[in-house]
Amino acid sequence: MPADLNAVMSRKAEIRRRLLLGEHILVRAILLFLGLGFLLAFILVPLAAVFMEAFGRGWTAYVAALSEPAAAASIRLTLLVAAISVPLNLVFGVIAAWAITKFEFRGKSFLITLIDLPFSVSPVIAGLVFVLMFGLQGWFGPWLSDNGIKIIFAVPGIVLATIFVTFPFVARELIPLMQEQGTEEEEAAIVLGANGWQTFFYVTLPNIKWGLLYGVLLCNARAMGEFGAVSVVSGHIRGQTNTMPLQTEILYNEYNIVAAFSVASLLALLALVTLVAKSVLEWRLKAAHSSHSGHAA
Amino acid sequence: MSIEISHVSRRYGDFAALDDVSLSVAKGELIALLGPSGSGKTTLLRIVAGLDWPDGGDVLLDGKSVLDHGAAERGVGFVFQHYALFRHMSVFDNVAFGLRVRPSATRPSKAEIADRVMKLLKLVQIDWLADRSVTQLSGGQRQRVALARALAIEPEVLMLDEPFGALDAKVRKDLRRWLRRLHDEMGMTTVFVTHDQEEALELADRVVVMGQGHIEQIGSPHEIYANPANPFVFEFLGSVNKLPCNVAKGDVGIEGLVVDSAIRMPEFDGRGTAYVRPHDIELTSAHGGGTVRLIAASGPIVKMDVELDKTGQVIEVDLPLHRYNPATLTAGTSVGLVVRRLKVFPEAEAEAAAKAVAQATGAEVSLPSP
Repeated sequence: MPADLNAVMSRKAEIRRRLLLGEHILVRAILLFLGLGFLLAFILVPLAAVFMEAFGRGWTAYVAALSEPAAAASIRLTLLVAAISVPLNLVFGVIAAWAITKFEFRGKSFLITLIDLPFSVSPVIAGLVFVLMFGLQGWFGPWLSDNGIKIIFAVPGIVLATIFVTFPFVARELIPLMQEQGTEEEEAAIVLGANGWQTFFYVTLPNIKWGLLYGVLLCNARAMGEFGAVSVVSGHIRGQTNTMPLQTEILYNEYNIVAAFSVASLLALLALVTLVAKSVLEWRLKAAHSSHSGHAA
Repeated sequence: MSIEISHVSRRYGDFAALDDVSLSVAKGELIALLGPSGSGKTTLLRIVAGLDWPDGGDVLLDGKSVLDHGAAERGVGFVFQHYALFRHMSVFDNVAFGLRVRPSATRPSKAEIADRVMKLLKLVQIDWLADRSVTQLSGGQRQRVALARALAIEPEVLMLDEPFGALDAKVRKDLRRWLRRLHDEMGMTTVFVTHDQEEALELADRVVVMGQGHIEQIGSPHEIYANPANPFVFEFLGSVNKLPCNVAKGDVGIEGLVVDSAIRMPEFDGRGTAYVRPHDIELTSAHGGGTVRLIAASGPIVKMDVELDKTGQVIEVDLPLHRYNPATLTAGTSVGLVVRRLKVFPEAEAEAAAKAVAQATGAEVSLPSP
């Protein structure tokens, strides 16, 4: 009898344990169904729809839509804007992270908050700020137009807006990483006779490279995909100041569905590539991190 | 290379890490900076190496002020507390770093660098690890890499910040002896920081005891241990019994203990605190001094706790093993106590020192109840 009783007790305990953790088979099925269903309905289906619409009239129509002059110009402009703003943000981001993590100074936390500002401000506002400064009615507008310099409704404005919106990515990725790594290795390099550049390129950079790449990747994805801020300063001049997101919107508004989705499919592809690269980098970061903790032990 | 530290001060806000510190180190000496955490010893080391700058005072290497020179130009070898190895490099690359970053005019050829690095790795007995990543090494191996890397630039001064702090006891002892031999062979000036008194006393030619940004005493290990200059040094180096006493006409009186009649304190008068090392107390068969409470006989020294009958204070007494007879001495035995050596300090000084040591080491303040 006692053995039987024990068996009953342990079975009851097992059931309670499972219920407590939501491990009941029904609960598991419902959660899985909801989670995957949500993913399917809100992410996979729209993504698939983009490609289906883009290829709706076949490969030739797709290629034709992308090689149409205005579409091709938007692709070139997007690449140009990213090619300017991403390297600049890389340099500024590294400098900001370096200053914040390797030196002690007053107003440090204020600077960190300031770096985050572009994340907390609506992109439209960011765009309007540049119009306010450099537009015809803006602070520097009259002087700029007198000297024949065009910023708003031109490429420089788009680059400025993109830099503003994407500034935090690199710095934010690096600051916690560099804070954790401290300054001892840099000090060791200096004592061994290395100058500032040698210290940076041989010691600091190799230690932060995966985090830096990760930040650059996110920065690039946003730089190419930014809509709001760029839309305000662009002026939507076809073939001249339309980036790919803006071009997509225009084409869609003109009921040119295949062309709109063809351009959109490139942006979607960029997102997919970013996603894969991001996973790889996250894995490398983790590996680098665990070797670092092993180092400290 | 000789080191001259002259009236150096360093403050962090309101906190004085170093307060008017002066010290000279002769060429080829091995010096220990000993003190609790927060005593300023690491700050002093970093200032000499060029990793920090003093608010006042001067640092001279071989008679020349080096405050206008950065760390790179001073040619000081530095071993960091946590080694600070370049974690993305191999053992070989770590050691070669100091040679590779030299301007091309003074940089040795690739073959020479490889030759020197391998010689150094042999010297520190880890040449078989040259291709390993430093993340794969044990603590003791990392320590050796850090040392080889510091020696690669052929420094005339070697500075080590808590070199053995992160190692376990056995490795620590081996490395300590080995470092002493290395120093003697290479003939450089060596300064190391430690909070471990045993390490400092065993390894160094001279020990500099630091507390709260000051130098408390400088001397040979024997001088420091046998003749501490003040209560702080007494407290920090080894165990000590603090007993309230009264000095009259040079004669020291401690309640419950017999003070050797040869001991005279003519320069002191009135109430004070007597500092007595546990091995400077002798047990006699006379009754009425104290009662043995605890005996720990595990090694060359028998350690005892003895409760004084008059005051109830518990003191530590050390007895050489050959004088210990388990048949006559057990817990509960009543014994007489004779003090063979002591030093008396004013009560206020003793109190301040006890507080300072307790603050620095995080221990409780224990003072004799008068």
